Amino acid sequence: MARFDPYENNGGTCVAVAGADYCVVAADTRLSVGYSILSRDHSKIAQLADKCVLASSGFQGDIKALQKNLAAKELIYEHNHNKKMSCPAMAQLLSNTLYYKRFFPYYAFNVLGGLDSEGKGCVFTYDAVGSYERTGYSAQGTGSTLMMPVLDNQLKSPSPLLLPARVSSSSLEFELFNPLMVVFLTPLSESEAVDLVKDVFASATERDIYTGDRLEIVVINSSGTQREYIELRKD
Amino acid sequence: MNVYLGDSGLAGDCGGRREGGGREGRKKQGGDCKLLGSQRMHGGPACPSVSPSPPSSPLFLAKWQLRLPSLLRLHRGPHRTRPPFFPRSPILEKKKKATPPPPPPPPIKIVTRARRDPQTLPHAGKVGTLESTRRLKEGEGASRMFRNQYDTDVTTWSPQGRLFQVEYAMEAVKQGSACVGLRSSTHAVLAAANKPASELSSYQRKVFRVAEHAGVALAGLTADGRVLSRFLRNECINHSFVYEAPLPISRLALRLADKAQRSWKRPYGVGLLVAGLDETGAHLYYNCPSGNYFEYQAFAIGSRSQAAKTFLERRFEGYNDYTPEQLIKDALSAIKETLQGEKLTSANCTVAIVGRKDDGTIEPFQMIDATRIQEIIDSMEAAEEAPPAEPSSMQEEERTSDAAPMDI
Repeated sequence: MARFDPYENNGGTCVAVAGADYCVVAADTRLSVGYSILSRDHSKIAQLADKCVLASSGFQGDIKALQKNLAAKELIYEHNHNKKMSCPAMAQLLSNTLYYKRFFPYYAFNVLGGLDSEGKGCVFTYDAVGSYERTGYSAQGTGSTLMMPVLDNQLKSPSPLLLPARVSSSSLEFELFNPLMVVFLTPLSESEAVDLVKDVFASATERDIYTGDRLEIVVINSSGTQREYIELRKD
Repeated sequence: MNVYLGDSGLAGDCGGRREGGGREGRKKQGGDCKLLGSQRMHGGPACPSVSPSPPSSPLFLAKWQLRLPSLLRLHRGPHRTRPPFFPRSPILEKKKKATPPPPPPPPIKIVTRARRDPQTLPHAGKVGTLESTRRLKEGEGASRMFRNQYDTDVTTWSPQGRLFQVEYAMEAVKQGSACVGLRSSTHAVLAAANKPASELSSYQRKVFRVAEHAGVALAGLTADGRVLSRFLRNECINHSFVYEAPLPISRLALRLADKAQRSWKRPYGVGLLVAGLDETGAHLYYNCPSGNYFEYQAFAIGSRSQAAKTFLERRFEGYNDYTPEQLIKDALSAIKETLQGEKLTSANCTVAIVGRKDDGTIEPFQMIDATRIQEIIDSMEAAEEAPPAEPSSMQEEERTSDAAPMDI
């Protein structure tokens, strides 16, 4: 007798990269179940606050419920504090919301990206029960195992004492080269970050069956939020 | 035989006269006792009225009178006291016979709800149209006790079919500072007069955002208003969560009205002007503490709101076609009416607007910031100072009915 399985993996991959004054959040738009495609045009990205964007892959039913839950809590925060939630505040709220369902978790692998209160890019990466960490970049979902090594190679400095792979912004020198400061930023410019994300998705699409169709890229910077769509392989 | 004093053998002493007036005296001694009929001689042994104490004494109370007090009362009059417990000498009684009968006791005072002329009351003219019987100042003594009978508990009706606690709650609304609301077919505006509690304090917030598409302005007990705003916010959030659509304003007003129907709680002492936008356009509702609510084109609540209402009554018919700027100006003018002479500045009023813009997008509920309000006030005053021949929106002193349409 097959027991009712409350979960289903709808596939997909999400990526976020933080820069000095921007944040790039990207996800594919394919919705699958098993070996079938349910939709080629399903967005995994939700804008929770004006400087805060959540991308999640996993079970879309739980993801939808999680997004609605967070949106309602954000409204309550706005009513109580008379301002919109900042990205670090939303990060903590997401962690708490996920842990709240520790014994019947949301099947959602989340990446939260946005600008913090100082205007610097921030990315938070989560597991299914709310353990989170602020990083400079992250990938979650079925294609994450294909993407993370590439991102690490391109963006991660082996040690804070050593020169990072690429430095483009001179204003970050103090933060990037100072061994005492832990930096959660990548040294890329905005356009470089977007190109890197496109490359990485193109690579993952080749080998991951759940990733493909179309790529939705959201860039958050001081002037607001821009959205871009790139076609990916549809097989 | 007198039950207390024994039979002293006197006969006919009552003389047919009983105190307890109001009634004619009985027949004189020797005649038929009206009470007992012709069988008995007045004063004879069977006459129950025989007693050593003279009948004219206020202490007289015959034995049978003790047993049948109700009969007595009907016959003899209301007041009776117990007989004395000491014997009276016959000499004394004879002497007392000569004394004139005491005046009849005053009739029992049945206390009714006296109707006092409201003009004589100290608060005449200051409060609303409640009947004077229910409006008492402190320390009016015993007369206050009766009028309190029906107004202590919100679950008690008065004989006139009123719930006084609810009506008193509505009085609390009239004590708050003024708020006005008005709407066109696409926009709704709420404005409030900011009256700080003292020179040293800041003013209470009176306009609250409830959702992106709705807000409230309140008058009365601000603490109750805060509780209700939080309730409304939750209702809107829950509705959008379940239906993925904004809560229509009529239903928002209904939820608020239903909240007033808690019999175990005191009524909320705050009146709310609920303004918002939904699929059917912009709406303005007024919710009373009583649980009633009505939709309005324009309304004002709070102290001195009658001046604002008079102003709005003259102009409301054209409001459906007003632009948002015109609505804001009228709202400010209405608030100015309630200030009664005080200068209107952006510091003593708050204005908020919600509506649908011409391109179809929603203009979310938000307060208009102080600099912009000041600009609008300045432009209104400039228009007022224009030559008198030019009809202006700010000539509220005009009592003529031909107020020119706003041409701003």
